[in-house]
Amino acid sequence: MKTIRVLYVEDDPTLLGIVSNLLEQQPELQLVCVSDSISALAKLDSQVFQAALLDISLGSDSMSGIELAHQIRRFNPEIGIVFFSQYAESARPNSRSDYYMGWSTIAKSGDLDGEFITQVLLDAAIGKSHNVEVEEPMRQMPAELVQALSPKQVQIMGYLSQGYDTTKTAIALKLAPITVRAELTKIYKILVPTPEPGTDLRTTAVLRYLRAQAHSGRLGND
Amino acid sequence: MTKKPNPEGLLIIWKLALSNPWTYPTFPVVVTLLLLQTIFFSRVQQTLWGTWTPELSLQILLCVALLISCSFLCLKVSQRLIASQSKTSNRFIIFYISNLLWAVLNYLILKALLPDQLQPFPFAGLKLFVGLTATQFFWSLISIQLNRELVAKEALVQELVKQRAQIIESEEETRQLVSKYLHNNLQSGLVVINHQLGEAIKELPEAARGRFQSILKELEMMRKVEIREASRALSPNLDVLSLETLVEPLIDVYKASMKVTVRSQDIEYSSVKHIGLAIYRIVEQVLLNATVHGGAQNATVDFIVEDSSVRLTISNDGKPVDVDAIAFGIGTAIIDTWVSSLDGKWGIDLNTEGNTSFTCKLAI
Repeated sequence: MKTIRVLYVEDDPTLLGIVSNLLEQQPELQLVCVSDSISALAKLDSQVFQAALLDISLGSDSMSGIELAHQIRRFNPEIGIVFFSQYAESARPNSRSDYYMGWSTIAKSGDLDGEFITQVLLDAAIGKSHNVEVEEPMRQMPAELVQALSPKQVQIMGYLSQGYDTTKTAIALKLAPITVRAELTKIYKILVPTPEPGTDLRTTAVLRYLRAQAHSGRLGND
Repeated sequence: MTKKPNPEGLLIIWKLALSNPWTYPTFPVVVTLLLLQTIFFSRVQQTLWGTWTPELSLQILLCVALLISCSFLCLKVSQRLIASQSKTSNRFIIFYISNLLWAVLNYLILKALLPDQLQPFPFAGLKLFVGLTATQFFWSLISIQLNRELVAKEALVQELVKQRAQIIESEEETRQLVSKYLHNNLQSGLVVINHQLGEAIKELPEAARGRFQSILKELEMMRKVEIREASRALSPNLDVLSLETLVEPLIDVYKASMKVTVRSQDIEYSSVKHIGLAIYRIVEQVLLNATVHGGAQNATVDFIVEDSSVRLTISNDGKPVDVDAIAFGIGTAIIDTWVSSLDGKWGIDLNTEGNTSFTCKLAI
């Protein structure tokens, strides 16, 4: 199996620890970790790397991950660059020039996937790019979806968000429990239109409803 | 509250006027002299009222024209000569000699052109000399006082501009501090917590897993979208690849109401990164004005690098502004502060299509 040497630069020590643990389990990678840009450039003097995994924000006293990437490319124009950041899209190139071959971006998230990061690094090392997409559907979500609820549904969600179960909600609203359940089925279709397998519909719906309230200031059981 | 006169200040002005009697403005001095001469001769004219003829009028008109020309010429030449001298004594000599020459010239004009009844009175030359010197002193006094007030007001304006810049700078620092906290501490911390929660959830019984995974997903969404956007709304991310990426969040803000196109002619971002915040804030204000005041639906942002400076042009198809009557509001004050802080220039004009076009040039 072909392995590649990867330079990983991350200034957050906890993330550095977690991500390096994840990536060290990948047999295709030989990982060298540093926490700042100066150490990163020093490593380039002594070792040859096929890819670099860079955070963009490396602290106020340091050059940014993007500036570091340009410096690294001066040392080694062939090296694959992968940005791993919460602002990954800010490193996404607008141009299709050859310079940006093997120039990739991955958004940091809680569900860190070692295999996915490894694949992006392997691709970047041979000049393939992978770029993060801006998560469009999430932006539109909360307030607009709740506007689609009927007044009765808003009242039901108001009680559910306070921890009431179906029976107590039915008593509070003087409705039959079956009516509440029927309304809830409709509510889930509105608030959780495309549930992933294993999604707890009630929890997701309540959390989305609460987020929507924070945006619109509308409360169900007032 | 009425402003009390300051005797010490008045004394200083008197001293300044006495030691610099040539600081008068020429036009008011000439007008004052003419008025004084008119009043002086009006008594004689009253006695001549019965014998008034068109010839006499012509004679007086010619005399007045000559007096005005002669006065302007003398005073201007005198002021030029005085300005060319560095020694005060020389200045005084030129000042008094030119006043004497003016008095003699005036006397000769009056003598040659006026009818016998209006001929100058005894010691008229001396009176003219004294009159001119007193008038010059009077106007120098006013000019010095006005200049002092102007300088004081300009200093106040400068102070105001400085304070405005400091307020914006301090506000920006606070915004950056909170934004960095949200991004570096809170978001990074949540990434780690969410990851660890995710690992812990895997160990839960199947039945409970779904519920906790849903909570985790919503938490992750709040981190990814809401906290991230709050951080970006406070302070823009300057660690970007290009000018287009820098202003991309602004394009996003107005996406629903206005289409914004950005062109930057392959400008290397590293060469303008140090003024990135100023560029972002200026574009932000101009786009806000275009949509709020102009109701624009399309806007174009152009960046061009020329002569060690970046030229930013923002055109929009909104209601054309009255370029001569642009109100100096908060938006323009913010733009002015950012542009001034970089010794730049800005202006608003109407382009060939009649659209409003904002241009500014910032040194890089």
